Amino acid sequence: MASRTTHFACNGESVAITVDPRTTAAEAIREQLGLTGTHVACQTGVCGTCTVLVDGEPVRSCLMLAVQLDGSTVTTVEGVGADHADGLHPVQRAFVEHHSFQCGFCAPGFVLSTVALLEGDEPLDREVIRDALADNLCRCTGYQAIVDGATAAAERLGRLDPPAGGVDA
Amino acid sequence: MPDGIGERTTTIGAEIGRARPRGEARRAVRGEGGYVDDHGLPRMLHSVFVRSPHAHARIERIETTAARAMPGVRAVLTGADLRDEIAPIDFSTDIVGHRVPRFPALAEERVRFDGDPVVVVLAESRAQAADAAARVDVRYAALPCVLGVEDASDPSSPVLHAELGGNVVYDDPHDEHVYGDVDGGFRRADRIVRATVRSQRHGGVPLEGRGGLASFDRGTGELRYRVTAQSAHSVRHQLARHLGLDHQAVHVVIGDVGGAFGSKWSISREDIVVCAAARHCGRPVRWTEDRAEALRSAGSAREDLVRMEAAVTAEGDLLAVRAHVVMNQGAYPTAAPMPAIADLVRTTLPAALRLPAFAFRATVVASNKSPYFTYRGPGAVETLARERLLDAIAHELDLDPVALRLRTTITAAEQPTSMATGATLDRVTVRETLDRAIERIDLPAFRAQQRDGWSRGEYRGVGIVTSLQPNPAFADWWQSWGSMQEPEPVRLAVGPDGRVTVLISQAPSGQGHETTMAQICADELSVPFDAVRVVTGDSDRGAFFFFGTSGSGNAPMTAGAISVAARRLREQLEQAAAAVYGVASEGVRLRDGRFVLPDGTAVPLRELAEQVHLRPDRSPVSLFDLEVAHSFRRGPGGWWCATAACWADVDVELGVVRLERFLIVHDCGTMINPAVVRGQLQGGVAQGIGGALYEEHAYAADGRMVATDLHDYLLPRATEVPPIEVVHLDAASPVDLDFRGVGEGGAVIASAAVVQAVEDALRPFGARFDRLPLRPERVRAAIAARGTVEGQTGDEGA
Repeated sequence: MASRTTHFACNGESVAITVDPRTTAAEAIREQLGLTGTHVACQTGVCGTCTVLVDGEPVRSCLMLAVQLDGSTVTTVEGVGADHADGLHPVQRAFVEHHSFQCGFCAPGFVLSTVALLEGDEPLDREVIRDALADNLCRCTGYQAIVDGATAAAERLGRLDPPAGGVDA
Repeated sequence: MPDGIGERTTTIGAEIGRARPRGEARRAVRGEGGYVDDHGLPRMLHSVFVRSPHAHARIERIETTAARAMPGVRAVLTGADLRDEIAPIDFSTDIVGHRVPRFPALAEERVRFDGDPVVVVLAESRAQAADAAARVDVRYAALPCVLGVEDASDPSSPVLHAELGGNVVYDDPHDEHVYGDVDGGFRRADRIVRATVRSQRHGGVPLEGRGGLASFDRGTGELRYRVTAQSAHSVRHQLARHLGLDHQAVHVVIGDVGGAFGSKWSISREDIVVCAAARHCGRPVRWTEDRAEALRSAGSAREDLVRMEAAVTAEGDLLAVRAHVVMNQGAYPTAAPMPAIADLVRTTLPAALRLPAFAFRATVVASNKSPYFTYRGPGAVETLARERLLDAIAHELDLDPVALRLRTTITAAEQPTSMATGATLDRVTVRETLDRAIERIDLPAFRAQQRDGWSRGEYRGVGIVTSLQPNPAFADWWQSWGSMQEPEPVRLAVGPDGRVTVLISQAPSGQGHETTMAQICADELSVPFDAVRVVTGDSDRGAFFFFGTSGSGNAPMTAGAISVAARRLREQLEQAAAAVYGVASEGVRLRDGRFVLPDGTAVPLRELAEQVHLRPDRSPVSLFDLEVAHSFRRGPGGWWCATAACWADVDVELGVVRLERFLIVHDCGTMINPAVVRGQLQGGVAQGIGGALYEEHAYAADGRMVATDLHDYLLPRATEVPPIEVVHLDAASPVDLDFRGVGEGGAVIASAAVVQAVEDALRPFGARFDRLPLRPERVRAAIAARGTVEGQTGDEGA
């Protein structure tokens, strides 16, 4: 099949890539843009590891074709902290502080899913946060440290009131 | 001479015991990690394997012409093509009675499991390689397959490896290991209680699959392999011997590893093929398996059958236990010998029970399933089996399961003593963890609520179990296991800028070595944490160490090695400073990165390091005086001791189990970084929950793998794992270097707690389980049967 050229914005820069039409967005981001922070783990949309933001919405980039990115604005894990002090979005900072990752392979997906959740307008409580984090898989942490990190970030961003008595145990 | 005898020395700094955020975290959350697939090389080829779709078949013909003609294809290699380049895979051992076949890296005459690699295609892009792989035409003649442990034990089952003459690849040559008066115990017993446990095939399933990037320099004859693995030296060793290369000509580099959990401990056949292909083609070769390949061929574990009988008194005291474990190796051996895994079960099953006599037998069978790769706590079925046996005893004697555990667990006053198998039990605090857990649970209140719930159709239960892990235990445990603990090497060196490099032979996969090992070094050497860099995963930088990151060994072994080396280095540096600055060495102290001289002046370590490295002509000491190499042999160790409690809520109509809460009370001696300890335990518990409720490498009756993606192989999510509370019995031990391993214990202990909690919830129905996982259909069947569901499905466990 003939290659196609696709134009989009990625982490604030406009890019043009020429791809075989069957190339997934994840493959294009990793192999053509060299943004290897987007990891691929299941290839079938189950695990959320490859999550990127397309026009602000979390998308499983293993299920999207690169040509579908045409005209969109993409944020990957490399770009999400760019406008913040020390290059860390408050979600990234909270995840560092709360030991939210071990091997780190799922981390980019969790960061972007959580950023999308906290920058959205859905009313939050601790149950909603845990439910939302179930969109992504982590094999290392048992999730508690990720829930703690996401909760702390939500509080810091004013999306959640600090607990009356202790954090989510 | 072993290290680490005596009382804990006073460390100078405040790093040990501090829940410092991990240095690796920043690159993790910014996507700056360097996982194997993040690397490439100019002129790199991509590889895709053609795999057997059959569980068992004879290969009649392999036709590659059409594949070779596809765009971008540079080579299509079969086992025959590589026969002169790869020696037959040889994982033979010196274990008496262990029968190990030799087999080709790419299957030649026969395939033995769904996913067995047959052909490798090399092309300019992965998509081109995959297209061509689909055009490789392999003609098979299907053979009958054998899947389950009982079928494979049958001498009439189809034999996988003809040269072995049967599918039983290990039967304990002692017939039975007998400790104490087992027969007498059974003669004196008031009751004999029998129990059977079957755990299903499941495994590590790290989110990052296997993969590697091989390059061969034809000029120097050197192979470089970047890989996701747990030991650079073990990979190098296996590559060198199978590819006919000198050890020193093979350089293995392991960067960030996206999870391993034991599954990346053994080298894979594909690793060897990829390296051979790079040499064959004269171009770098990358291999990245996809999820279906990972689930079909990256190995699986835990398919164990344990049959037990216990001789008990009417009050529940144990007189003797007999156990027979049968483990399903799958189609091929790996570098981790199965008998050693069975011996883990033998040497830990009696744990902290007051048990005078024990008999154990192990059998390992081959079957047409993917090979048994180790998984976090490879002998984990020991805890599941023991705790299920105790549950059966409690059930038959109508005793409370917690009361039975209180009655049968040794106390501090009885120690030191030894396990029936001979291992020293000293400073074992299983009983203390149990007491602490009971304090936090308020069982009477729970029992009252539980009974109230029944009238509303609510069925909740609690499970409380204990475990004891040899991380690191004492020398006689290792003796009883059959091998001494491998001494661990470490090198510490001060560079020209006064910063300290810690070279270790570990290859971590998220445990946080770069942080925790730097904490150790900083305290013991007395330099700032930020002045320490920990280097891992490089066969050319770390000294030879086969074991790698495995067996919860980092805290007991690597941390011990660094402690001892840092203490020596501190003395050496103080002497060097005395020589350089012309003062008496007794008067010099290294404190927080500065030498304090007898007259009170402070000189930065950097100043000394600069002079020694950059002006060696003016220096009375050499740069080797700023280095220490040490091979650490453990002195007395200790056991990881724990109690786990799990709260389950069962929907009896749907058969769905929901876990409400999990508690783990444990003792790991001195904690290096409490947040890392907590994370290891929580993550391990989640995997144990997955094993108890969801995960299975499931095969159909014809031997095809059913669970080929994560829709079917179910990993627990944030909504399936309850809040996990971790309570440390004590944060620090009075004994020197008493860092005990916590990597495996959570995964080992959790499943038994979950099963007991579900049975407790279903007490009104009398539901019992002898088979995992407790998926809804099995739970509903157990409720419907109002009794045990033993043998309700076939042996294939599908």
